[in-house]
Amino acid sequence: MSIRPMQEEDLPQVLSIEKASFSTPWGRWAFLAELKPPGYAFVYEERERVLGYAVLRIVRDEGHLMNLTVAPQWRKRGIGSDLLRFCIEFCLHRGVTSLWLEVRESNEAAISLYQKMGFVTKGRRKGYYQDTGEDALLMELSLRKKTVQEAKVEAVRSMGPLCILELSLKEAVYYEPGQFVMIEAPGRPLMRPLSIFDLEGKTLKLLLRPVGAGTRALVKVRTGETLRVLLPLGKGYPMPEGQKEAFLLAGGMGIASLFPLALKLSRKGIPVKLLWGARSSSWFPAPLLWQLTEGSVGLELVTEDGSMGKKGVVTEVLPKKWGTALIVYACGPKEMIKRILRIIPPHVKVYVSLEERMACGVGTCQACILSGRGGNKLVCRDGPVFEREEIGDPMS
Amino acid sequence: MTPCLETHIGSLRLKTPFMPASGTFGYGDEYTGIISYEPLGAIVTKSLSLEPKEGNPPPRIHELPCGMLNSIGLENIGIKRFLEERLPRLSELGLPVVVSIFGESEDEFMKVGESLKGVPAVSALEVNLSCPNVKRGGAAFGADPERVSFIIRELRERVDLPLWAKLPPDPFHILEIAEAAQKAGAHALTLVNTLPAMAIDIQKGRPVLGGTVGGLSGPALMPVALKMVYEVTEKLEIPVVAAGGISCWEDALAFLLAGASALQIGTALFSNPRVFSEIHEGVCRFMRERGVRRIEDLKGKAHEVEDRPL
Repeated sequence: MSIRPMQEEDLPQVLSIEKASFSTPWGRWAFLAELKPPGYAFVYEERERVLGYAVLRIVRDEGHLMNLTVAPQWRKRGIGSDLLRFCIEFCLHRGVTSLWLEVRESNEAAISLYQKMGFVTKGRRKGYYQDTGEDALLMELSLRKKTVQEAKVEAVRSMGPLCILELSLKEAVYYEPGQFVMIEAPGRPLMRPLSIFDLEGKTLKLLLRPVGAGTRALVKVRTGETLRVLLPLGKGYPMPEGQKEAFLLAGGMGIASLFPLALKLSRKGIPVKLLWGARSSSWFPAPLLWQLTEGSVGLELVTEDGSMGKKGVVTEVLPKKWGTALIVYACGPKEMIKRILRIIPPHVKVYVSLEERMACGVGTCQACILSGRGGNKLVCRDGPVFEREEIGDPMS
Repeated sequence: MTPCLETHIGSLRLKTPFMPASGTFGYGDEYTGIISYEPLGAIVTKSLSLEPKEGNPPPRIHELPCGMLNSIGLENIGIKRFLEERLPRLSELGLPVVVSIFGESEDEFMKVGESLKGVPAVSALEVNLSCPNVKRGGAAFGADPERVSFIIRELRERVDLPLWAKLPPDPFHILEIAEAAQKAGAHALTLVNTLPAMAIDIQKGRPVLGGTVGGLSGPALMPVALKMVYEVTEKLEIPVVAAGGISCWEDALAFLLAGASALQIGTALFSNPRVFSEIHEGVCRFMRERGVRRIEDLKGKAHEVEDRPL
């Protein structure tokens, strides 16, 4: 399956789905007009068959979802959500801050999908649909970059030395793997920066390891409590530009940001190999390994005590040869990142995610300094993901 | 009844007494779109020096049970770039802009001050005489009444903007220093800066902060700052802008009752970006409940209590 821009040649298939779906379908000219900006049209295709499509209009920072249709016989298989998710991501990349749509008041299935993705009813257009005179609900998804929210704790799942904190947000937020949140640590004066492990609409998951005062306080929270979060922060991992294969290097908790990246790349059809190193086998919770394998991520594990996978650390089991078709993403302890940057030859594109103490997360406190080439950078604002060229080597 | 939060710092009128503390709010527009600027009465920038400064090596902050240490070392883009790149955006926020200035020498203070002369978008200068994280200038100036007096007097002659002298939390000499600043012509005092402090990593056997020493801020500093505000407003007739661990509306009221004309909030912003809105709401609620119409009616009330041995 793939989602790609709609071409004129797709129109016969698109029009037949449109006719089968609506009593007042769009005509050929209506679609043709949306094939060029400000229109953006996409088809969901499987084995050269169009199963669904979406039409967007983007003017400055405002997007409008004009049409989202799945062929009647292919509904209830998640194709609509995939198309919608694709449109939301597309809007994010274009700097859209709010995405609007109209939906028939009686179309409960569509309304519930939109609500799940974070759309909120903002108004009503009286007699919008000419065939039945029905009202349309006007819904909006706010893609405004950063928000402070009270998040409700839904679950705290302990998995060996790691823990997954699941929270529900008041307002839906969209993100890129590599971005992070600042989260209140009960009873501590400062919020904690944590990578976004998973975030879909209003459900936020954070992977953490209770070692410091803040993370220990976080894993003790009870279901139903609320925690203040500021998100999404920083810059995420850029997608490959022409590279054919992705190689992800995770040292210990570095998996927190590389996990969603691995799944995202894999969904985009890019072959992903993930090398994950940790102290011992207890660091690799079965559900996470299963999710990665299920997502077609090629997984290689390495442990310091040899209790699972190869014995050693990530930097000891790296390949000897590095082709230019490869793109590398790394996240882990500073020492590992330093060594990786020395080992991987300069012709390979490498992105690393760095950690530093920070208080604000938005660039005001100036604590998370990185002395790199071309002056100081802030990990929270200019990172946490950096291209190797941006940082000095070796890092101080 | 909507309580009136308007306050005055000399001739400068502020719609509310709440503003960020220098160094915690960047150049002022970083939080736009994240928090409401509605509760603010002014913006206070981070301290600007004549030339850009790189600041101290990391780690630059350290969390404590009751506050934090910072040793940023006054990293900033320099006054020239600030005027060109940041100030135009700041003026669009529609709030008075207080520019914090810093110098390693008396001469640098004068030059930074002069470069802000006649800039219409600037409402006042906060003269940072008390940063604990730099080798030269900083707290060394603020602790010396003669140098405080010299810098303020010279700036008065050169710059036509209101001057707020930001002083160090020296509990034994604060009156003397405050009086020197007042006599030299300061229009207001900002009390207080962070308290020089440090932390040691016992595992590594060395100081935690890259700059060795830093400044203590947050709730731990609050009662110390409160006492200095009370003491200074008891003796001197000069508007005081309070800073030091203000984290909630109760703290804000305590400082107003102690005699402060305005309040700066810094460290609390890091644990709660919505702190300004929450303080604003809490203070308004308190005033409504007590039937207090104007916030200026609360100012210094704690001094009026009689029969109290001091």
